[in-house]
This record gives sequence, structure tokens and C-alpha cells, in this order.
Amino acid sequence: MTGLFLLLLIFFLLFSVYPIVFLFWKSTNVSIHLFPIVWSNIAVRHSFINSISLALFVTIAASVIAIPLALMTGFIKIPGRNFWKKAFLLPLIAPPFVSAIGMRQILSRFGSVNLLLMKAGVIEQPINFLGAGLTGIFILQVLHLYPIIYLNMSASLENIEASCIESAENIGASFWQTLRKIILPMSLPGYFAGAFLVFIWSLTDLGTPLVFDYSDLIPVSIFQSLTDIYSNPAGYVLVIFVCIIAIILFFSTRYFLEKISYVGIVRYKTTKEPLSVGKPLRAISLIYLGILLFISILPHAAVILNSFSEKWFLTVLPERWTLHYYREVFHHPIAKISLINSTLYSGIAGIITTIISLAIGFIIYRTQIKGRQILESFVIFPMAIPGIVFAFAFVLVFSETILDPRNFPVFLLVIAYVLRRMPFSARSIMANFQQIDISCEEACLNLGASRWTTFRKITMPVLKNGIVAGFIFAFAFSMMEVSSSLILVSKQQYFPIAKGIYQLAGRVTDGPYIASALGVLGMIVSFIALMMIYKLTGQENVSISV
Amino acid sequence: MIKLSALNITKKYDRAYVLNNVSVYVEESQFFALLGPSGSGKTTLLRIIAGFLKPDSGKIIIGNRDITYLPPNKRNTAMVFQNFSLWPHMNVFENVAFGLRLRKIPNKTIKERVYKILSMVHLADYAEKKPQQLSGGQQQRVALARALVIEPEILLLDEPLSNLDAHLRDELRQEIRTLQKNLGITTIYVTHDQREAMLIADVIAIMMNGNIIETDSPDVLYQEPGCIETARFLGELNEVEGVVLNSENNFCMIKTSIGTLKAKVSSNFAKGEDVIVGFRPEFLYIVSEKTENTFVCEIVSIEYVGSTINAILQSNDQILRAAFSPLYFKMPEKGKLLVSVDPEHIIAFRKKK
Repeated sequence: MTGLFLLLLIFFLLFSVYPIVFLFWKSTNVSIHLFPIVWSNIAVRHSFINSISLALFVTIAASVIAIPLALMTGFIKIPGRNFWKKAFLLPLIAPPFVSAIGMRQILSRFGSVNLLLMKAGVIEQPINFLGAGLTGIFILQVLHLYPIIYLNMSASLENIEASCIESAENIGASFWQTLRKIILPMSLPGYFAGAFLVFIWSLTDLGTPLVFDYSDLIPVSIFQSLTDIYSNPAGYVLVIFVCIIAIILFFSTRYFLEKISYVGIVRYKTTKEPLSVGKPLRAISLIYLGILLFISILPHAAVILNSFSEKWFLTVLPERWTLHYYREVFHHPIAKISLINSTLYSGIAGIITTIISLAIGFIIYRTQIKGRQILESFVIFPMAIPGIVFAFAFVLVFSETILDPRNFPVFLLVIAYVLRRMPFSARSIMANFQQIDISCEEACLNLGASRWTTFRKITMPVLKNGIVAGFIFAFAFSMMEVSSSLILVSKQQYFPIAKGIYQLAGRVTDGPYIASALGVLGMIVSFIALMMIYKLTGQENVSISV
Repeated sequence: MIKLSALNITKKYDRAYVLNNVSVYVEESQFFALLGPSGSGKTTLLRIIAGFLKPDSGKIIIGNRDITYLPPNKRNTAMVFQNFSLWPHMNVFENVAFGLRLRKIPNKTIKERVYKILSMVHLADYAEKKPQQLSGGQQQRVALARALVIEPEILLLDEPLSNLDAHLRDELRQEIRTLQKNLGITTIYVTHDQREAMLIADVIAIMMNGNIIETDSPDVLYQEPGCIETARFLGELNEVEGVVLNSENNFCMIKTSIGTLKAKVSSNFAKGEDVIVGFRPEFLYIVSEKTENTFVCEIVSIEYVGSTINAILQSNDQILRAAFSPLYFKMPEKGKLLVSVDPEHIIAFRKKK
């Protein structure tokens, strides 16, 4: 066991801590004097301001959408409440850069909306909805990311005890007073956890701006700087900057959450019946939910339509349909190889993630090894570090070594997937470990069973769901991992899906259609995965699935 | 004067009656307990009084106001919940002050009233603490203060002590009782613990299967229960079947397997009527010579509890339980005993057909 512990330590130190430390060391050593020079570059400043404002506005807009949503599905008696509760997971099944392909079809200068409006005679000239690209990125990120706030806040709301609300009503608070003074403040932990994820995601999202061909953003500048990583300090500066912001936000969120954490309050969970509200409020809620869901899945729907259309150009909807592009997925060199590769990479990453998570859970909860708690910090560490930073650091650290991603990226790519998914999978499995009272195992040992039999017969059955969920999660979300896939892989033979879609979407002829078909397959995998995780663990674990 | 009446309350869930035409009347300043096993409908009744549930039929009246269809926040009742339900984002002071702030009371008065009530529950020094920094007992005291500070017309307590350990429960029970007496606030207290109900309440209503089977003061319910269910629920009971030999002047003679017993009755029984004779273990005492209501028993087993000596006795195939005074310290563990029960402590119940 101690050997396993040391092995895990080495793994995390080498692939998680060392690259980040090296990144900081290198940048302070080599280029700290270059920081002011980089800063004086107007393009860098521009992308800096753009990225921060984008992340800020996306977070605000996602909050404005998600907070009423969480309250409505959480508290109001509406027809189809269970359907609505789950329906808003749907936007999550595709990363925003896939929906970006659909979004272009709908909102571009000669996209569906403009054509529809022109046909109806509402406008004469097409409207430039997407702006220079930034607006499109904003819309897509908001539509994709608000469910993260929604899910986290819903989890918080569900934890509010019915009697906490009732005691407010009981001593005279009206519905709105209860909402303002009790319900909203008590759901803050979930809200902040969600808002943090949304901000960082938006700040470091590389795929969407690339699809919109918009380069005045930090992630794109970092991506572009990789080509001259040793001569251009801009990449370093921006990576360090993003990394510092992420770390500061991560720790301040955690600090804040701990400060307002409600652990220690004696809890006996009672679920509150949804409130019966007046007809107007119910109608408003239903309309809100309906419209929001419609808009949210519009880009996805457009991707699906695109994948089935022979050609979709200058018409509101595609006019001729085909399955050709699905056949192409399995024949086109880029599509085929990236599909096979991604399945393989994600499968391996899923297995490794699960095994490591299980080992960590076992070491932390079932052994007395000194210093074992540090594994927990290693597991959480990648949450504070954006994917793009990890990928950049990998390139920096392992270039010119045996692991050089420019020669053979698979190893590092799988490691990146593992590290990125580890916080969620490991915590899901660790939570299961915590559920097993150690005395249940002791009772089994006491009756004469061996340690192995005890593990098989007592521990495993309880862990099973968590393990399966952890694997599915790691697998499905590795398939859709964007930044490391785009940054680490350059040779076509090693393309994963994300890189394949990106390459295809940028081509003029049939590329976007094949990319859409690939995207649809990805969505199906994610959808099935989400449903399975939902079944296996209940909603709470889905809420960390982002 | 009647402060609260619940009149003919009926409540059904999925066609099963949770409350079946239940009425209670609570007098001003009375400490009224709803006592019953779980599932008897007592919490449902309390929640109907608080306004969290609407009855299917019936009325709730406070003073002269019909509040049946008033929402909970307009009723001027205050409830203390089993699970404390303090708001974790507010400190103790703010939790207690919340109800006063809703009532737009000036800050200075709020401060005075909150500190006054907090010192009543011995928590004045904890005003700045967060609920999660307090023990269970302290949390429940805050909940109590939060309910009392708004000076509600009716205080409702839903098993407030059941999540506390035994020692705290006793302590807090006495505090609640003292506070209630000092403030003179009309109180309804739901519990499944008969000891707790007897210790704290002026009047107990015993609920079973959605009905109130008996309402009276604790001592009357214990010593002169009107029905055998009450007698069984409130403590251990020896039950012996018998037939009425004769019945006059509120006493009747009953023939049983352990001999002929004389019992005090409130209404006379018909001769030949089948009855169940009940008496509590602690009313049995040891005598030296045979007189009225004495019978010979074989000692089956003896347990020393400390405050009592619990014996299992047998008399003509009838097993009896006795709780003797510890004065009989050197009791033999085997052999025969002559025991007796006074007629006043024997109750005859009509046998249900």
C-alpha cells in the first residue's frame, strides 16, 4: 500500500505539480522583465480586456438566466416539473465550440434568422448578430454555461430544509420576503461554486473563439503563441496571468464557501413540497422555461440539421437531406481517425482515472499511511488550473524530451484527460467510500471473511455505482475535452475528436457537415453518459459534472 | 376562556384519514400537549393550526378570528421545529430579530427585545455566534427565542426535544415549562413521549389513528383513564379479564382468575357484563394478611432497578407485573407473596365486542 501511495505521489508530482511549478519558474526566470514589454503590446492588452469582460458578462448573463430557473424548478408547482428539472442538462451535452457550428448557421449574415426576417419583410438588410465574433462567442458561452450555475444552485436549494422556510413564513414573512431573506442567501454557496466555474470556463474557452475565427482573446493568443513558444514571451505572460486569476478565484471561492458553509447545522432532511402559486406566476414560469429551453437547444438542433442536410446555404432550413455525412464520418481520413483515436484515448483515460480514484479512496479511507491526505489536495489541484494552462505547461516541460507531444502526443493527452477529470471522478468515488461505515467491513472481517472477500462482498457493491459513474464521466467528458486536444496534438494521425471537428469545421466544402455529424455523435455519447450518471448517482453528482 | 379551537378537522391523504373529525379546545395560557404514537395525526393537526396544511373540512379559530384559510404568515402563531431550522446565514441575534424586523419594529426596541428573550433562554452571550457554532440544545433555545420574541398568540412546538440527548431534554423541558408559565403564552406541544407530555402539560389530548381518544389533565389520564387505550399508552398496565358480579355505589365486584376484585367505577356496570380489569404495577403492594383485593402470587423473577423493585408475579396462570417500593429491599427472589391493590386503583373497562 505504501508503494502504491508513493507511486501516486510521483505521478501527481511529475505530471501535475511539476509542470505548473516549472511554468512559473521559467516565466519568472526568463521573462519577468518582458512582462511590461508584453503589456505594452496593444494586441495583448486588447485580448486581455476582451477576455476579462467576456468572462464577466457571460457570468452575469448566465446568473440572470440561471437563478430564476433554479427557483422555478426548485420551488414552484409547475406541470412537468421533473421533466424541466432534467431538461436543462441538455445544453451541456456538447461543448460550445460544437454548437458554434450550428450557431453560425442560424445567426450568420445569411443564416436562418436573417433569412426568415427578410422573407417576412421585417428587415431589408441582414443584421450582423454575431458582431465581429465576440457577440457570437458570448451568446454561445452563456447558452452553454448557464446550466452549470443552475445545477449547482439547485443542489444548494435542495439542501435547504423545509422547516427553515416554514419558520420564516410562520413568524410572518411573506413569499417574497422568505425568498429574499432566507432562500436566496442560503443558496449562495451553490451559486458561487457555479459562477466560479462559469467565469473560468469562459475565460479559458479556446474552441469557441477558434470556430468563430476571433483571435483577440487570451486563450487564442496563447494557442497562437505555441508556434513560437521559445521566442515570443506573450504566451507565457498570458498563461501565467490566467493561471493566477484562476488560482486566486479558486481559493477565494473555497475560502468564501467555507466561511458560509452550513456544515455543523443539525440537519434532518425534510423536503419541501413545491409551492402552489397563482396562475400568473405559473404561466410566467412555464413561458420562461419553454423559451429558454428552446433557445438553448437551438444551436444543438442546428448542428443536427446541418449533419443531415445535403447543403444548407441561403435557406431558412436545409432543403435536401442526406445520411452521406454520417457515412463520411467513418471514411473521411480526419473524421475516421479522430473518432477512433478519441474512443481509445478516452477509454484509457477513463480506466486510469477510475483506478487512480479507487486507489486514492482506498488509501485515504482505509489505510493509516502518514500524509495520505495530501492525495486529496492533488486530486483537487487541477480544478484550480485551467485546461489550457496545463496543456501549455505540458508543451513547455516535455518538449524535446521523450514525451514531446509534437512527436507522440497520446501519452500526455491521456494524462491531461486523467488530471482534468480526476477531481470529479475521484470525489464521486471518495464520497462513496465515506458512505460505507467502516464497522460494516469490520463486521464482515469479524465473521471470518478475508480482507479481499470483504472488499469484494461488502465494499465493492456500495462503490459499484460510483465507480461506473466515475468511469462514464471521465470517458464522456474526455471525448469532449477541448483545450488540451487542440493544443497538444498537431499530427493528423493522432487527432482526437475535438481537433478533428475544429479542422473539419474550418474547411469550406463538406467539412462543416462532417464536423456536425461528428459533433452529433459526440452529443449522443454525452447524452447517454449524462443519463447513465443521473441514473447511477442521483442528481447531486451530475451537478459536479462540469 | 378558550383561546384556540380546532373544530371538526378532517384531513385525508390518498383517501386515508389522517385526521377524522377532530376537535380540540385550548384555553388561554394553557400548556396543551398532543400525545400519540407516530402516524396518529398529531403533527398534521399542528401543521393545520400553523397554516402549513389546509384541512379538508373543519375550522381553526384563534380568539374570535376564523383563520382556517389564512396563510401561515398572517396567523400570529410561532412554531418551534423538531430540527431546529435555524438560518445558517444569520447569527443568533439576526435569527431572533428576523420576525421583529418583518414587523418594522424600530432597531432599538428590537435590540432590547432580542436580548431580553436571549437572556431568558440563557444565550445572551451567544448573540454574535452563528448557529453552527452552537450545540443542539443551544440551537433549540435559539429557535425557541425566535418563536417567543414576536409574542405570538399561540406557541406551537413540534417534538422540539426529540433530537436532543436525554440530559439536555430534561433541562430544556423544564426551561420551556418555566418560560411558558412566566409568559403565560398559550402553547400546543406535540410529542410521542408520554413521560414528556405528563411532565410538561396542563392538559393532554391523546391521539390515535387520526382521532382524539381522550383529553384531560395528566394525573387524571394516568390514574383514572376513560378507556383502556389511554391506560395502555400512558404506562404499564396489568390487565385481567373478569365478569361483573354486582355493581353499586360506584363500586363493583368483579370475578377474575386471580380472585374477586373490588374496583371503583364512574358509572355502574350491568351484572354479568364482561370487563377488563386494569391496574398499574406500582399500585401493587405487599401485605401480611388476607383482606379485600388480596391475592397470592408466585414470584417469577425480580429486578432491582434502583428506584423500584420490578417483579414478575404469577397468580393462577395470570402473569402480573409489580413495581414495589425499594423499601422492600431484602425481598426473597423465590416463593410466594401476598399482594393487594386498593379498589381506587383498579379500573374496570367495558370489553369491546
